[in-house]
Amino acid sequence: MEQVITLISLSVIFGAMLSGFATFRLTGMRLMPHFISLILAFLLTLASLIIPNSIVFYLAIIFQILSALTICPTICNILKTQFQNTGIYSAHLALMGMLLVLAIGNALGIR
Amino acid sequence: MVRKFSVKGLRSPSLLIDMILSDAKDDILIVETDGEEQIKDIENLLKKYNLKYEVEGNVVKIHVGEIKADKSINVVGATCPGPIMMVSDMLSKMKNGEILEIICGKNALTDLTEGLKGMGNEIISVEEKEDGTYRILVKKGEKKEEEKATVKIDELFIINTTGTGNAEKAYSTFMMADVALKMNLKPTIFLMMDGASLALKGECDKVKHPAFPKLGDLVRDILKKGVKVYVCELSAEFRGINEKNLEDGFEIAGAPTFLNYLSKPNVRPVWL
Repeated sequence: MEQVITLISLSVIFGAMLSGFATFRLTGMRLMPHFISLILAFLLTLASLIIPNSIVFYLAIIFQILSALTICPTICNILKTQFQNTGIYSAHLALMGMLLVLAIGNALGIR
Repeated sequence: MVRKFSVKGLRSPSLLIDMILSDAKDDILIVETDGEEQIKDIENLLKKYNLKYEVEGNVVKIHVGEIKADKSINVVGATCPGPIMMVSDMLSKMKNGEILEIICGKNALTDLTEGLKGMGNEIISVEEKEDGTYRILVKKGEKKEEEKATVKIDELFIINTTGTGNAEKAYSTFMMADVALKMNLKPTIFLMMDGASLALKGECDKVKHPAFPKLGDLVRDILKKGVKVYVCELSAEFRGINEKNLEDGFEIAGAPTFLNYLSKPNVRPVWL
């Protein structure tokens, strides 16, 4: 069951990478730390599915949470000053929200 | 009273002005000159009498005493489009040639001067008062019907509505202004809706595309070249942008400034 949640997390991260890349290009590559942590989260989550190692598993969860947190300052600013264009960020925001819940659930061992 | 006359062709215009000044009282004299030499001659005379004056191109505006306004209105604290509506209402009840005194805050200054000029009125003087408000004297006039003629487009009005959320359009706004200058077209930038986000202090410095210089550097360069950057007052207020956190060199303006530019026949708008 944990593997199923990890697989769902992986698919959410992959979707977020695609939607994130579009916003990354649009904003003039402003979210570099977020994008790097998202790529690392993807690699570690993929690795945790293949390698049964708890360090890799928890590292994947840490980077999943970091990915969601690194977007906060920019998104807060966008919501404050660029709310006419928030529609273009909404897909990525939704996936980040889902990823955070999945990561916390996975860390707590919820089945 | 506002008096206009020309000293074109005179060798010593100061002699004529001295005579006029001797019977001038609470007047504004608008003197049309040939250029630099005549202006210098007049300036020497005005310095001797310690009179306030302004030079705009070849025109010297001399302030003698205190002009008495026929009516006065205070619009301090009102936000766009309040000031121009209140002033227009007041002007509609006045006769042509009468003078209106307007007391306003800095937020409404550009709107009122630009908007009133566009409506055919004449701005006689603008003074900053000690309390940070402004006193504008405006002479009521009427917009003249212009004959249909071929007009040369020599100004660009670049309007950005997307702000830092769209880096490409943000870069285009300032790069286009730079290109326009090189092509002898006068550019003016207006930031509205999300475009107002560019006016937040330090925000442009956060935008950097690997292929281009930092957006903030581009903005400072454009401002140094004398390009006016206006920020819509309403959009700024929606985003918590005010005089305190406004980027240096940017000016808050409103609907009258925006519409005045769009109504000029020699101006081409560019929407981004």
